[in-house]
Parts: sequence; C-alpha cells; structure tokens
Amino acid sequence: MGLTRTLTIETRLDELNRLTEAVENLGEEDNWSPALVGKVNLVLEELAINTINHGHDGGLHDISFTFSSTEDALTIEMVDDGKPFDPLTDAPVPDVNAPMEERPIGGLGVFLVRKLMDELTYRREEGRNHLTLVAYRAE
Amino acid sequence: MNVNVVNVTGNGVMVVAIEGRVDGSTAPRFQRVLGTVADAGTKGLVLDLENLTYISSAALRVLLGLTKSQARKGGMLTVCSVPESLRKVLEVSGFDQIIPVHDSQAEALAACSR
Repeated sequence: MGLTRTLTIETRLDELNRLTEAVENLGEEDNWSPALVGKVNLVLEELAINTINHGHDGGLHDISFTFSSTEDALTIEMVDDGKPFDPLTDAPVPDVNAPMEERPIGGLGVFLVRKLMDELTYRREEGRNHLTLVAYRAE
Repeated sequence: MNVNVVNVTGNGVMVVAIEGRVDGSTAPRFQRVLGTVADAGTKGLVLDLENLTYISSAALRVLLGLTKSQARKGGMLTVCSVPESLRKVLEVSGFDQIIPVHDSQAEALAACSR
C-alpha cells in the first residue's frame, strides 16, 4: 500500500486494453479487492471512451491517469487536453427508475462513474480537464 | 469473452452462459452473437453470468436492447448467478428492476416457464 503510479494512453480505442491491464496489475500489486478492481476498470473505461470519442476534433492526444493509494482509499487523477467536460454537471442524469420501454439505450456511462466512485472533483486548468476520483477501500 | 448455449428446454427457453469480459471492445461481438441466439430462441432467454468477470455500460446497452427485442416478440430475458462484483453495477444502473435477476438457472427457468 502507498504506491503512486502514472499511466499515459493515446486517444485510440485500442489503448483501452493497456488501461485495463494496468489497472489489473496495480490491483494485484496494491492488494485491491476484486470489487474495487472491477469498479476502477469500469469507471476508467467509461471516462476514457468518452474522451476518445468526444474529447477532440481529431488527432491523437494523451490521457494520463495518476494512481495514488493509502490504506483507506485509492485516488486517481485523470488529465486530458480535450474539450471542457465536467462529468458532474455536463452529462444528463438518466432516470434509472423508468420502465424498460422508456429507457434510452445509452447515456449510462457517466452516471455509473458518479454512482460507483465515492468522491469526484473536477477542475479545468490551463486548457486541461482534471478529474479526481476517489474510491474507498472499504465497501 | 465467450458465449455458449448450454441448454434449450422443451418449451423453447434457451440458457446461455457468458464468460469473460464484455467491455467497449467486445460489446459489438456480444451483441451480434446474442442477437443471433435470441432470434433462434422462442419463449425466453436465460443468461447465466456466473463466469462473467466484467461488464461496462456498453454491455448494459446490449442487454437493454435485447430485453426490448425479447419483449416485442413476447419473450423474456432473465439473468442468473450474477457475481457479487457485478451486482452493484446492475443495482446502481437500475437494471435489476428491468431485467429479472435470479440466484440459479433453475429459478430463472421456472420464471420463464410461468
């Protein structure tokens, strides 16, 4: 416990495998519960896909993830130079209680991020999105 | 990711085991394979998720589409044996209220046969 690690990927969908692998390796090294590995994988995949698909008007860009962990929590800072996007305010909230016929297909990714993480903070700084995610180790 | 038809009951309910990861990169194949399977089934589809290790929102999108298409033709989609780590995703997304979740294949089959 107590590690700090940074991973940088390019804005290409085939980089997602590298992200997943890195999360799984870190989880093993840093003793995350399977539930925590699953949550982190899902959340980072959703956020990375958003940035890859919608963050830029073309060209290859970097997305970096800095992981730092303590005994109690894992903190991840995601940084990209894409269009300003605050997942706390810029994404519609789906009605998860709507009946099946009324549920649109899609729009769930960012919602899951908000629900699965224990803390989320966003800031825009020097043309970059900085999203800080915190997941507590205890369920 | 693997999709295997493990059982087809006499009354036309199909049991499909899904293994591995369904994420942004495997979801298109997941959709294709399950779509083909669902077209062949008549009354219902039971997805056994015991050996599914990971689902993202891309997988949920496929499940929602499948639930809708099953409902249109009078069929039913249920899931069973959901690993603890995936239950949370189904819960927070509200999918456990759209798709019936059963503890075992037997329970799911009983529900489809009612």
